[in-house]
Amino acid sequence: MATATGRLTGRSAVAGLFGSRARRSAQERADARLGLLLAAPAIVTILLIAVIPLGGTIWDSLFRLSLRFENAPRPFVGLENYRTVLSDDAWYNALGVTGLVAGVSVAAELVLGMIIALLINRSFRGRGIVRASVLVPWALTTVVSAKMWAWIYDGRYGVANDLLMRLGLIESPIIFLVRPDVTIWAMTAAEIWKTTPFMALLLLAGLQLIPGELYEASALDGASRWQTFWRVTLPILKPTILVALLFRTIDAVRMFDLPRVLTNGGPGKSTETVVLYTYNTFFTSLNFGYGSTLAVMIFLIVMVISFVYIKVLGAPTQGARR
Amino acid sequence: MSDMLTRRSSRRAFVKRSLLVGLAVPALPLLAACGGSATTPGKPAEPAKPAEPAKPAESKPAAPAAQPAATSAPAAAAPAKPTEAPKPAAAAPAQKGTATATTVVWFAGRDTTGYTPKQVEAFNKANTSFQIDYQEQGATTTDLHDKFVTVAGAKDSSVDIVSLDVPFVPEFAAAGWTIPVDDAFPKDEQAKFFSGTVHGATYEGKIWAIPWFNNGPGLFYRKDLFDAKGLKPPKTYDELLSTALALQTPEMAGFAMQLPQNEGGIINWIEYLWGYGGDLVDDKLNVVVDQGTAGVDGMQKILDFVYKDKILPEAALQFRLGSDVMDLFRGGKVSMIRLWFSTVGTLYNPDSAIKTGQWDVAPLPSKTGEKPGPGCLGDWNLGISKFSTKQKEALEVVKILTGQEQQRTRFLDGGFLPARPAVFDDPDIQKKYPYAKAAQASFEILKPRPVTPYWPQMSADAVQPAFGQAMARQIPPDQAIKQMADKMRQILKG
Repeated sequence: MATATGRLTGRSAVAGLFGSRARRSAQERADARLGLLLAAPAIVTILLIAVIPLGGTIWDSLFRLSLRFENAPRPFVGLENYRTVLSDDAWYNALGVTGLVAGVSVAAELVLGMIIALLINRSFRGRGIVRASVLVPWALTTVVSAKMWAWIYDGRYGVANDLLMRLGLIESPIIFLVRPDVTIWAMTAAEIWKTTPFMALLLLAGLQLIPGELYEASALDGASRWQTFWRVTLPILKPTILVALLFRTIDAVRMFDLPRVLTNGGPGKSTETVVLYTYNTFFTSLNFGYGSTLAVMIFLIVMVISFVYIKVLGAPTQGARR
Repeated sequence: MSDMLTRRSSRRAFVKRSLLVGLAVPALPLLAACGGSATTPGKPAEPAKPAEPAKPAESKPAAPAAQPAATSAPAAAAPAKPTEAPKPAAAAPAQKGTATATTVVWFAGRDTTGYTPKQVEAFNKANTSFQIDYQEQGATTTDLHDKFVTVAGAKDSSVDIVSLDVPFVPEFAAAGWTIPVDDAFPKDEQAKFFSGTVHGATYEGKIWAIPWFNNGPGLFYRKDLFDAKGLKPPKTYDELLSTALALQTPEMAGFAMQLPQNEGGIINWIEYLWGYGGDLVDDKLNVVVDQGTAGVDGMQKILDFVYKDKILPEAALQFRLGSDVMDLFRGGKVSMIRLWFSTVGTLYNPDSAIKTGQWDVAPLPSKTGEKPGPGCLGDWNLGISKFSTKQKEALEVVKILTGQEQQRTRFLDGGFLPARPAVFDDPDIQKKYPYAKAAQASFEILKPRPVTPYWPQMSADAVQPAFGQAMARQIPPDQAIKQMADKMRQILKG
């Protein structure tokens, strides 16, 4: 990430290049040049870590590229790999799994994150400690928390079984991670636990931007707490919610480490996400052409999601601001 | 620029930037696949660089010097107790040694017994011309596979030696990632190894690795409990059931083996498939798993053990590592287990609740009991990366590691069974491991998994998901076998 100055001048440079139709003064042109110069490292970095690999992946996706045999031919097949994706049952299965887990977990995280953010936004004793401890699940490496959840769900020693049995909800232990009807929800719960703090953190930042006067005014007008939340808090929080949802949805679509460590896609392929499927296509099937195609498909999905969020949800927000 | 303007556009820019980040992030794993490997394993290789100019002169005289020590059998007492012996002798050369020694990087699978790191440490202390940078890659064999695919796929030179599970030999050879070692491992040397292990290191008429340690399954059982009830180790699957039922208590399971949806799990079923007279593929690599009823019968037998007879805890479906089963046995929680010999070392650890004399090993049961049940060949080999810049040195290290003396020490101290039959004749070995002769006999009948570069994919894409679904009772065994066979045929078509 560039520094704050870098960002500001960088933006003015871009605005200067594309935005203004008015004639530019020498001073503005100099600003633009300086801005471009300062933004150059960031642009080069993005080129190196995003654009070039992406281009390479798209290029690879047009070939039948298997590393299985050393001197196998690597013919150019055009869009054939993409046609294969569209009739690939495993791809649709992975898409369904990803959609289900991402949809449920992001929705649950929004609700839970909002509750947590509202709670820790109030002032009470020990607030700092509470705020810090809320973040712990998110701060843990996913692999570590996935291992932890594997133990929680363990059929013989797991805490989850112990609790449920003590509460009398089940009679014999459930092997959470090998029951097709249960595993996907067990995984979703672990995902929600892990990323709700992130949602809460972003929403908390948004809540803190809301000036206290607005609440005072609504209190004077005799608004109930519920009305205040719907009429004051939520509209102002909307842009923040948008960004939080955007981040979380993209993240959930790319979910890989949790299923890889917790279930490795099993039982069967009932928890195989699109990224895990792509990974297996690369590293187990050694099919780098088709794997690249799958990676490009994920990229397209993420792009579509981003556009939907920004166009559909973003527009009224800007309107509301004016 | 006014403050107002800044603030307003900053939010829009933030959204824009978040979009950019969102686009960049999916590309990251791809980048990691190409470039990431260079950053991590590249580093450890660095210290060797300064020594490189001296290498051609140094390595040649060093190699023959190291070789006799490795091959001239038990007489060489020094390497057997490397921690003590080298002290006086190596004190001075050690300093010279570190300056001129060649460091080779060894990609290995996780050793759950913790013995190999110690072995490497001893090797590095005792050896002045070579140093090993030993790197375990993840918890499972698949992790090692994927890491080496990443490195070799990028033609990265940061790996010299790679540990090879039997199925990796044809896969990596076909992909052109390992080199044939026929010259370093000639026919007369091959004759000193179990023929099964040499066969497992062969692909298309060439040898691609040197067998490092032998591995096969055995039926480990609680001798004390068996004796108390006057029971004998079961010879058939039905006897296994009745014996387990006789010994089972609420605190102790009757029987355990690995049944997760991974390579370690499917092998347990494949042994039952063989036990019922079936196979996955025939000699010409035609898929035959759906011919006859052996596949279904074997799977049904295991399912019955878990869900009907309840001698095998359902938790076995999540025993992803061999050590999960061994820990159960070591803790006195199960009366019999089917497990790899490679985990036996931990039974000698002081923390084991089961002491020597309380346990023994028997051959696997079979359907009829006339012969022992078939076990899966699971030996490990050491191969050389094609992209290594120190292939010659790496090969010398591999020759030492697979030599008689190292295999003997590894058996004696770590419990890893040797790939060289001669090691079994050692009196110390026979004294420490009363079961050694029985293990040696069982190695003669081990069967390999399908020897084809397609096996890892067939295993992961066809066999494992179908097996996993059947074990979770998501689909019945006959449907699992059909699904598996169809997918295997599809994969073999390429």
